[in-house]
Amino acid sequence: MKIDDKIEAYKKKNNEPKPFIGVAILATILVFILSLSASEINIGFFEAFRIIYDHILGIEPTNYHDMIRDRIIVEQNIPRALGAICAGSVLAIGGAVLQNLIRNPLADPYTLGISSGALFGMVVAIVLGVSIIPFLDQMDGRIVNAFLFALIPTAIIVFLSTFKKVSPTMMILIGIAVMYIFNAFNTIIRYTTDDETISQIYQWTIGSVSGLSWGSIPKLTFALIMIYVSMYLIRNEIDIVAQGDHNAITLGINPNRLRIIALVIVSLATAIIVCYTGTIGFVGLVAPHIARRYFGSKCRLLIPGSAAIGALMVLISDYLIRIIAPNLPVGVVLALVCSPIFIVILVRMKKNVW
Amino acid sequence: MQINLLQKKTALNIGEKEAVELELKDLSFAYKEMNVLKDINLILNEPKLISIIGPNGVGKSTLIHCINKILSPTGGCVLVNGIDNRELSYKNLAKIMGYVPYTTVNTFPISVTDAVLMGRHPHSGRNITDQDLRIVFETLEMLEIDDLAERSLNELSAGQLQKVVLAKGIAQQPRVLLLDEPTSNLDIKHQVNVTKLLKTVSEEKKMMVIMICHDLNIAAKYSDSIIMMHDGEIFAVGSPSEVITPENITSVYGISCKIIDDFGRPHIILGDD
Amino acid sequence: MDDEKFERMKAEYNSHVIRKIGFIILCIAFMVVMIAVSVNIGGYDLSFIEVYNTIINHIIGVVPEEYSKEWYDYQIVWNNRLPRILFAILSGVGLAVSGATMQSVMKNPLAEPYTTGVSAGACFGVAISMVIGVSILPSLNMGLEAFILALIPVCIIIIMSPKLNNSVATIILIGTALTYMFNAFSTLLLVTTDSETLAAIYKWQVGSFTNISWDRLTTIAIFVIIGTIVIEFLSHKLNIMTLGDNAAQSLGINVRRIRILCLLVMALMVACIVSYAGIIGFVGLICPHIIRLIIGSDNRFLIPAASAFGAAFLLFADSCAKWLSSLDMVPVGAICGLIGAPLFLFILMRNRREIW
Repeated sequence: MKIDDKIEAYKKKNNEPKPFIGVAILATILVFILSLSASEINIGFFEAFRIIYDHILGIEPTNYHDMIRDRIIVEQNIPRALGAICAGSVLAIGGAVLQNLIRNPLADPYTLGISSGALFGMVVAIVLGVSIIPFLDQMDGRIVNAFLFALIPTAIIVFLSTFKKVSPTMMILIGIAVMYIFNAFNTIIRYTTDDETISQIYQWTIGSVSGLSWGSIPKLTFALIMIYVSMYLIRNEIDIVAQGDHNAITLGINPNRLRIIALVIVSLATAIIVCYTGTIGFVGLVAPHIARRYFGSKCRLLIPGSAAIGALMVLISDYLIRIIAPNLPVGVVLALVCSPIFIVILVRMKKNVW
Repeated sequence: MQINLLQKKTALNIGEKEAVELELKDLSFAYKEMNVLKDINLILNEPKLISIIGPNGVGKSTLIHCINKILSPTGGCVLVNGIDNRELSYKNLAKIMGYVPYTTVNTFPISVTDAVLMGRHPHSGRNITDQDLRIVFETLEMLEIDDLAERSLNELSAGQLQKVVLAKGIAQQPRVLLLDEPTSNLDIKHQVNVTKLLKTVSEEKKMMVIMICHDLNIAAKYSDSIIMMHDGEIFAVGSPSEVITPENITSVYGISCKIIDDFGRPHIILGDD
Repeated sequence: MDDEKFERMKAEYNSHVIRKIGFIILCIAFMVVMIAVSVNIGGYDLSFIEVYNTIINHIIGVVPEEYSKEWYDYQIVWNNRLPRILFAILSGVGLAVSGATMQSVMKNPLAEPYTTGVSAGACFGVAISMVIGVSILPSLNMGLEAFILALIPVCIIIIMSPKLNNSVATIILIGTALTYMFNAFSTLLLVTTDSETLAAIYKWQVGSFTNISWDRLTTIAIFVIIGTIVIEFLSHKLNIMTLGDNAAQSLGINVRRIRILCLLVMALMVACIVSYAGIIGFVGLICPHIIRLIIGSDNRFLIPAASAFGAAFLLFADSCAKWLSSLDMVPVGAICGLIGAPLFLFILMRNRREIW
């Protein structure tokens, strides 16, 4: 084959969208649409569309029947679904990037201690009534607190890395160590406060998208855009560092600096998500592995692929919850439904991806 | 491996066919209390094939790692065209210096083409052009692994993998290419071919090719000059016939041998003890 | 090699060995001191002398009169404090050794004893026994159910392992998936119960050494001690396995078999600890790293060092927990994190060698 032909072949192969991503995105859209009508009250599928259409046109619902449905769909279902997409995507992208950069299949955004820090911030706000930025009202104050405390483990990692060379594994271990410290505080406080405060706090930690309202959507979307765009921009560098630190140095990349930058961005985005949805486990760890199986390890496909799969996982789980058991945390259904699927995928994998 | 987060950046403008001068000045390196390199002084300024030879553990890899900033010297410095390499950013250094390691970290499997394409990163960043692809495919052809282009790295034999890593270094089109035992896993035909290829590349592309080599005869036959190291120091530098003498071999390697002349190049015949 | 050089190298090798053994002895010494100290800490106020009198009397064979002061002292010291101390020691040994072994076998520094799903299984077992079975007091049954269910995820992994084309990463991921799955099962069960049961289950989960008696201690001791000895015998082979599966196989080691054996032994050790002590994190994950930072990664020393350090550490943490609050308000797991994490960070910063 002549070289020009080869070049054409490579470019074609690279630029054609892999069918699976199309499928994943299509599936996401489909489930999104499906979920719009899901709720405790029986809302017909097409009726949901009529209500949305009316709402967009500005037509006020005339009767009680329509008013309730309008409220449910527009105020509840849509932000919930959008939130699910944002949360799933951010966590999955964070997991994919961290696993590639730390070169460890067990890395996920929560191993940086973000959720423990956020919980502690929340606890400080609720129990002590103190928030770091004093002028905000109660709800916002709590969320800001959670956000700031969530970033402490990452800050410590960055701080220690500037003084001493830390290997990628040590970075994560530092994050885990800080997580244990925060966990300890949280456990002790749980023992010493009264039940009502505890249930307030723990309501919040159980990962769920059901409490999301339109107010949080802009921030969640911002988190998604931030992490997606920035990670996609450095996709080549991530691929190169994933092949080894020496490889990266001799090709002109400072692997530690790249890791820290990625860490900070992933932490910021994850912290935003955690502050609004609590801790939705499993997605950040597992979605990238599934994505790798179908899309390969190159970030060009892995990042959007993980995002799509993560979004799908959370969306489907939330949908199932809404139909079957509205009181369950989304993480439960995620784990129940997706664990077996994941195990089957792992066992049937012929090529080793790790 | 010490990597500072903040790198001072100095640009290094070297034209296409200009020569690069590498100077090692009092270069020393020690792991904790153990001295590996002691006061190395060396100037290399011609594009040619240079072999570094010497017994195991004498500091050859360490020397190369100090040159390409994987390691930071504990004493002395490495000057690239007069500029201390610590002042150069990784990126700027990567544009003129390539490295072919002895072993690779086995993590994610990617295709051979993608692996070699990484070599173009210092020049093209994220905009891979047709020209980059052309260079990659031509390099694969040169090394006779173009039929492996779409194979995944973890399906290759050790020899094939070594050629892929070599291709990545060559595709980088550096002015200086550092190689750590690039032929150790190859059969004799490929050892000769690759070494000949490196020599051709150094002549045609005016590249300084510095390779660590364990096969003394191949090094003697094809190199333009040889650096013989012993005990962390440079024992001898010069043309193959100057450096490869029975006395030197005995002093450094501790074996006895006979040297015969092979068209102006020394050929070693091993003695009995 | 001439004799002088040989002697020099042997001396250097020995000095390294001595350093490692020294560390182990230090840990054991610290542990012994802690035993002496911890016996004196507890809710009931006993003086130093009274405690020792009780112990010595018991050893000599003097039986105190029922319901006398000495008899109460004996109950407290011998049936309350001492078992708790020994339990803490055994748990420290079991968890630290399992953690170190898991990291070596899985070749992953983020692996820990619970990676294969043992903790999630045990939690599910406890949930089942509390929600469906006997609910109020922790009984032997709860321990047994927790133990059996703790082993299920590991069995699943072992059964699946022939199909897994030898990748440890896959084993880890399956273990993690099973952990999430069993945790989800537990949550499902817990949603259906009342807050009292929930509180009881949470109390178990958070981890404590109070739920112990001499006969249970014997069972745990058997599992932990035998398990540790088995792993110590395998440690030489584990060292070779870090070179890579192919290299190890060519040196005559049946990699798959050893891996499965280790998983089984670790599961048994950890399952019996978790059944009675609850889920105490940190020791299994971070303590091995602390030890590695101090004495390196040679498994032959790592295992004994892990036993010694784990025992000393957990005993110290439990003693602190006891001292801070006699009502169990401060769980031992929290103290582990509060003491151990800064210790780890400190050692990490001062360390000059690069491990992983």
